[in-house]
Amino acid sequence: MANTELIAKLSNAFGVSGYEEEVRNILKEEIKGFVDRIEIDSLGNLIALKNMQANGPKVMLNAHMDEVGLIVDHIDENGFLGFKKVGGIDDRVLAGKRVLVGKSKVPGVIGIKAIHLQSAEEVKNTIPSKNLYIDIGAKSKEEAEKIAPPGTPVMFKTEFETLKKGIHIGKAFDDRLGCALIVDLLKENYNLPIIALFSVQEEIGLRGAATGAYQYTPDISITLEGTISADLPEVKDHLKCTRLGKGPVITIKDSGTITDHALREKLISLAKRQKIPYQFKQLLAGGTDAYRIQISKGGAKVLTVAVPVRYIHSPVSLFYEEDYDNTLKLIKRFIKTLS
Amino acid sequence: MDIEILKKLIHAFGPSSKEESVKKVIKQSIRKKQGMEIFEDKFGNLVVHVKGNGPKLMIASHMDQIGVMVTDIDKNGFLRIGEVGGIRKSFLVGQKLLFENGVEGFVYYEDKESQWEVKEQKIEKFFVDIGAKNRNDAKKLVGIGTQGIYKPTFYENNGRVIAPALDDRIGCFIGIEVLNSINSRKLHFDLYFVFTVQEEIGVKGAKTSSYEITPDYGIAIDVTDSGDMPETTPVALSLGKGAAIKVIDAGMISSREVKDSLIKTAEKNKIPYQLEIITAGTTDAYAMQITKAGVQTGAISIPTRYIHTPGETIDMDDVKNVIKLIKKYVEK
Repeated sequence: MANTELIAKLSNAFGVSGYEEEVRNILKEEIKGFVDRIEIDSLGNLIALKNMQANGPKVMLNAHMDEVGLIVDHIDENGFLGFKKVGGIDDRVLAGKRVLVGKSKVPGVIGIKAIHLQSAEEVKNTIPSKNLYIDIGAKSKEEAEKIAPPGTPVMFKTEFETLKKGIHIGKAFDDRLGCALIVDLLKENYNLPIIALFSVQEEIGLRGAATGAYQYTPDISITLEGTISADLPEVKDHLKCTRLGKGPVITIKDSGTITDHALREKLISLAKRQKIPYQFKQLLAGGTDAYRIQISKGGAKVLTVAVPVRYIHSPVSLFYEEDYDNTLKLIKRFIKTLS
Repeated sequence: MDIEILKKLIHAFGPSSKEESVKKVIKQSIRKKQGMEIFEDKFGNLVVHVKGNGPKLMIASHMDQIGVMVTDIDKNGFLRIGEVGGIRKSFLVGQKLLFENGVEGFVYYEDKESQWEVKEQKIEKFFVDIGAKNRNDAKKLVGIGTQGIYKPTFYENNGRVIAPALDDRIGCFIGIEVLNSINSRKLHFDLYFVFTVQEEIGVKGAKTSSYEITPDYGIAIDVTDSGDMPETTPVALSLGKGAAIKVIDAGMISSREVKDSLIKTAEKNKIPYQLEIITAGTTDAYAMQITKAGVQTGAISIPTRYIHTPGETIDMDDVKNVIKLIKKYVEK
C-alpha cells in the first residue's frame, strides 16, 4: 500500500531546516490535482487546502518537511569546513560519515584521524562536533569558499534502500514519512474542510507550525510523524518508547503536549473496531508541531500519530512498511468519522 | 473564608489536562449572581464573566496540579511513570500516589547499586507498586496514560495549612471567595475570572483564554516561594507577612501600571503586602502579558513553602489579605 517510490524520493531529498525547497517541490507536484489551493507562506510552509467550504470541523493534517543536518560556519586555511549542528544530532554519529554539501550536493566526508594515530584515551572519548570538519577535497581556503561558503547547509549522504520486503532504511524518515502519509491522505475525498500543513523548521523550534497554524487555525489537528523507537537489544522494556511492527504510535503526552483525551479515545476505539494495531508512545520525550497548533489563537484539539522509526536523527534510520500502512489506514478512516 | 471549600479543592483530582473534578468543585462553590455568566471555553478553561463598566480585566488562577503519567506496566505489575509538570524527583521516593480512578500506589526506586538510597534523580529509575500481583492484575486498575497525583492530605494548625496542590488550588479558592463577595455594581472593570487548565505544562490555558478574551489588564493569582525556612535559598518573602505583589519572575516583569496600582490599593486600605522579586518560575501572567499586542499584566502571589512537594505550606492570613487586595482593586 505504501508508496515506497515517493517515500524514497522524499527521503533522498535535501531538506535541512531552513532549506526545504527540494522537499517542498516534490510535495507540490504530488498533491497537485488533489487539493483546491496550494500556498507557500512567508516562512516557506507548504499549505494545501481542500473543501474549505464544507461544513464540519476544520481538520489540519501536518508534517514537517525539514530534517536535522549541519551548516558550514567557517573554513580553515587548508580548505576544511567547520560546521555547527542544525537540530538535535548525537556527536557520536558524525565522524566518518558521508555528507552532501549545499543544494548542489557536493560530496564530502566528516573526517577523523585514523585509529593508528589515536591514543587509547582519544578512542574512548567522543569527538565533539566543534572539533570535527568536513573534507570536500578542496586544497585551499579559496577553493572551499567558492563551493561552500559559511552558511551552506549540509545533509547526510544516504540513499533510500530496501533491506528486505517491507523493511526500509534511509535518512529523514523523521518526518518525510509524515509528509508521504499526508500526500496519500489527500488523494481521498472527505466531507470536511482539510488544511494540509507541510511545515518548515520543526527541528529547530517548531517554527513553521507557529505561523502555519496562525494563518489557518484548525478545530482539530493531526500531526503525523516518524517517531523514536529504541526497540533495541540492550534497552530495557520500559525504555523502548515504541516498537516496530506494533502499529501506529499514538502519543498521549510528550515533552510539549498532552493530546486531546476525547479525540484520542475516539481514535483508539476506531482502531479497536477496525482491528488496526496501535501502540502508545511510552516515554514522554520529544515534541512535535502539535505543541504550536494546540495553543494557536484560542486553541485546537490535537493528536499526534506516528510511524515508529529506529535511529532517528542519525545518518540512517529504519522503519517497517506495515506500520506506515496501518497508520495510513487508521488516519484515513478516522478523518471520515469526523465529518 | 469558607475553609471547607479549600479542603474540597485540595481533595479534587486535577493533574494537567484532567481538571474536571476541580472545575466541578469551583462551579458548585460559586454563588451565581446577576450580571454573572459562567462558561467553559473550547480549551477547557472555566470562565466567570462579571459584567462591569470599565476596561477588561482578566484574573487567572490555574486549576491543574503537577502529577505523573503511567508509561509502562511490567510483567510483575510494577508501573513506570513520566512527569506531568515540574515533579521534584528528590521528593518522589516514599510518596503515596493517587491515580485517576482511586487506585493508590507507593513510589520506590531501583536501589540495586545504592542499597536503599536514591542514586540518580532520573524518572526512569523510579517505579510504583499498586499492590498488583502481575501485569493483568495491574491492567485492571490502570493503563498507559493514566495520570496520578500526590495523595491529597489536608492539615491545618493555627491558620497554617499544609497540603499538596496548594499550587494553585489556593488561587482557585481566592477566586471563589472574591467572586462570592464582590459587589458587581461597584466594579470598575469588566471582569473575567478565568480558572485555567494546563498551567504546569506550559501556561497553555492562559494563552488560549487571553487570546479569546483579549483583556486590557491581566493579573495571575498563584503561589510563590517563601524564604523563611532554616538555611534555605534566599527569597525575601515570608509566610504571614501579607499578599506578595509581583515585581519580577523568570518569565515576566510586571506592568508598572498594574504593580503600582496594586501597591497603592494595599497602602490605602492598610492591607499588609510584600514585594515579590524572584528569579525562578513563572505564572499564567507570563502568557497573558504577551498575548496579541500585549496586555498590562501583574500578579499577586501567596508565599508558599516547599512548592511542588506534597507538603506545600501557606498562612491563611496571607490568603485573607490577597482576597481583600483583589476586592479593593476591582471595586470602586
